Amino acid sequence: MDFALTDDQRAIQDAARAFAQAELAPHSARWDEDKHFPVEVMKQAAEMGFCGIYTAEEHGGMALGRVEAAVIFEELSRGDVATAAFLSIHNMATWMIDRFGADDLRARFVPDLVGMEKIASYCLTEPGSGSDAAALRTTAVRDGDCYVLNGSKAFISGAGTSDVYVVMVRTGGEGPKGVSAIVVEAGTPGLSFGAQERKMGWNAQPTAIVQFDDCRVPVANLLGEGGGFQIRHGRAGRRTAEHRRLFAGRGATGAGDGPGLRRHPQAVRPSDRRVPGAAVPPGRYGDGPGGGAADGAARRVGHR
Amino acid sequence: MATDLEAARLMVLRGAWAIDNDHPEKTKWCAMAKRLATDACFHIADEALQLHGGYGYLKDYPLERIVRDLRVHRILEGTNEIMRVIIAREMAK
Repeated sequence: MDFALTDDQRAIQDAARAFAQAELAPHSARWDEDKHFPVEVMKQAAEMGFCGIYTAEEHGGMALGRVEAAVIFEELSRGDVATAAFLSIHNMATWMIDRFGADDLRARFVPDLVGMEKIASYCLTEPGSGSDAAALRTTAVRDGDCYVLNGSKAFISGAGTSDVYVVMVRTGGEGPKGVSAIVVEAGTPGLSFGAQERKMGWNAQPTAIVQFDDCRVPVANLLGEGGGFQIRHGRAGRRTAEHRRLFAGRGATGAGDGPGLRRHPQAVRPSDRRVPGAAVPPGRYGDGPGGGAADGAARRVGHR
Repeated sequence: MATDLEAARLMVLRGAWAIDNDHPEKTKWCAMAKRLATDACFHIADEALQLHGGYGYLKDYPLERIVRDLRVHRILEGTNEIMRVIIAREMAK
């Protein structure tokens, strides 16, 4: 058992940290205030390889593991939580197309996605079914060489701006085994978007309902062989769900370490100035009665 | 705060390792990591805001934004309540 990052992983961590501190952190407040989706900066992230972290090398991915991805997203989250979160979504959608798409589909989309020339969104949640994939009601009915999509997806990050939507749809019967994933391009007739949601946070990325009304999508855009992309019951889907969860967690640890009193020099300023509000009662942050020494970092900042 | 953050980081990295190595417990461990990391780090950020007093509540400092941005992580990708369902289901297998 070894809990240490390898030299390569540390180098990746350093690169991600430097990028986040230089390109994300200084702008985070303004992006939040202005509700600005920083596409140009995400293209810079692509130059670092951060848009195809665990996508195969064939079409430009870095082919790293989830451990490396977790390390990268923690660092990016220190710079800006909302942008790091969007990059994690884009990475997953890109990986899904590369991992489960047919060769033609991969060649058509993956290079642009890895380079952030195109932006990808992931559409699972529906207005009536939370993230419960088994209950989703958006249908894709085969008609000749197309699937005809009908239904709506809620809380979709990137909706209205993204170029590519990886959509979980019902191609079969009830339950999880009837669910497939299909790629829908922006501009497809029948694809439309709701008004931008007004949110508590994540203001540096757009969020809206995605609507499908008799939206015709080529059969070739289906991911998985013959509609076999069965989320949660198929190996593929389970991996997808797991690593999105993982990155949700990882983004949180990055930000948790942000106010963690080391990474944001400006964050410790109030206590530096000994403002009354920053005083921390003894033991307030302790591990147990009287406070634990292990939480000393918090107390040091509070008492400085 | 530091201890909780380190615990969250360890669980997330082990979840990532489990996916990379196709470990039989990856589903449970990832659900546990998501549940723990998103809850713990939201509370860490909230405590960090608290120890800055009134200044933590102002937009002049990044604390309030981090708290707002992190809140949704406890909801998305399967709410943390759904994570408990997944964990329980895996334990009952």
